Amino acid sequence: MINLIREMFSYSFVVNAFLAGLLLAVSASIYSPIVVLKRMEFIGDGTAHAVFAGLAVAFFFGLDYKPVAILTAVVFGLLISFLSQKEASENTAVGILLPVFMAFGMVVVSLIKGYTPDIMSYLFGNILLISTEDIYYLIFITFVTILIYLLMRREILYFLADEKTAKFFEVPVKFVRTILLVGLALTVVSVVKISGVILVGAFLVIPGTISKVYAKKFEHLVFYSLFVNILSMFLGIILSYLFDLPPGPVVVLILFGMYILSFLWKNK
Amino acid sequence: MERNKILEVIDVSYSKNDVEILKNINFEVLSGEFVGIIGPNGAGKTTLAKIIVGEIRDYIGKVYVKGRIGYVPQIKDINRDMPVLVKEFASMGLYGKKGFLRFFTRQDWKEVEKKLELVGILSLKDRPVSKLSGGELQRLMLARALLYEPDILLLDEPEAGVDQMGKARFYELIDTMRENENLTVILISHDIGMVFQKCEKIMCLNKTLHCQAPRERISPEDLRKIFSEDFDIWIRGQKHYEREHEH
Repeated sequence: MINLIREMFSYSFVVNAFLAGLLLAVSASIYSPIVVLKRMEFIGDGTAHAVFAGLAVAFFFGLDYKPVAILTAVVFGLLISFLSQKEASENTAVGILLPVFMAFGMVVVSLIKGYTPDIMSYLFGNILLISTEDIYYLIFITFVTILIYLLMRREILYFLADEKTAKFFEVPVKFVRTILLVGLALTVVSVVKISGVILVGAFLVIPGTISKVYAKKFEHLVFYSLFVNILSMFLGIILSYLFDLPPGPVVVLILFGMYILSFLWKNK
Repeated sequence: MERNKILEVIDVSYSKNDVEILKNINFEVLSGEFVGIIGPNGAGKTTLAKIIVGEIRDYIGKVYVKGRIGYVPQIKDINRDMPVLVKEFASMGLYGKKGFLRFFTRQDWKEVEKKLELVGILSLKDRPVSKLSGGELQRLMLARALLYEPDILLLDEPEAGVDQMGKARFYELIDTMRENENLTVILISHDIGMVFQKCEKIMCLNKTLHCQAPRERISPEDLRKIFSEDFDIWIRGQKHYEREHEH
């Protein structure tokens, strides 16, 4: 076992994968309970599809994909925040905007001459292709996410517990919502490379769903999600290395297995 | 004690999607008064509450409030899925005083506990809100509103989802608050019996105000206008009702 671990960590791509997994686990553990409690489970998928449109534009114009992807995700987050304040739920807003961004991306992809493997790889993602630059981005996003959580813990708590009445008690609900949606969008940009556009939702929905069942207070939500995320990431990467499987889908399947186990445990 | 005007609603009308919900509402509330607003479902009671607390702003007319309003909404609006402790939930009432990104001190938590004790749920402070009964949740909402140090308490159907015992305890608490802190209370309710028992002034709302008078001057006729039903039994008791309806 020790030899296996030593062998795995002798490869820099595996080290990067673990680091990325750990950082992502931290960010997602803060956003996942929010996504689940605010019933905006499709926000992750929506943002990921929006990012796809951004990637297509970046490849079409030969631009660096990262800033364009970030910009697209932030614009998407702000649009959702705006629409969801105008009597549409977040999920409805995502339902409206997701196909629009995806369709736009597909049109742009069709205009790119030749094969577009780079864009297609984002549909499925691969944690083993994480670069050092990606790690820096993840460190930045994780740092920002932790900062938001530590500074705005109380505001987020009130926003989640009773958004409607919170504003009467002067909680800046609109601001909290916007900050969370933008932060979430930035996290999704970092998740896409690992999980791909298609699987992104699992990382943002399953940990929060599991932790909600057991949590008695807000901090529990985050810590239980963190535990679920770290365990699934590490197990997933090790198993995919051992059996030569795609890591993103393996992690998602482990997450689902944990969800089933937690459900059975709760109802035993 | 001299009573000042604490709330004034002048010619307020409100429509949504071309449907008129409130029309030419005029009334005033004096400090220390206990006012009841009654009306059938869809009469516009909650809309009026939302206009008073400032949630709805695109209405016609004017609303003047002198002081702070402690809003106690219906308990069905609370997200019971959210794992939050009773004391944390109540602390929302202190947020306005603390401000954005400010941490709570030990003194703040003492204040929260004081209010939880006042409403009789201090022993539940570390319990998740999801485990509370309807009556306990209603008292928690009251504690939260009181932490806001309100001049007016606005209660939106506090009886909804609360059992008889819980309801009785809740109104006892409101009586105590009024005696001790000269609070002005506006009670929006379906519970006509309770409104007639507790409130000094009653307003009958069904899109517009059909009556507005001290309790003793509200007649069964006034109620019939808004409910299209006989409510004499509620106002003057069973015996009176039977006597009047013998012939």
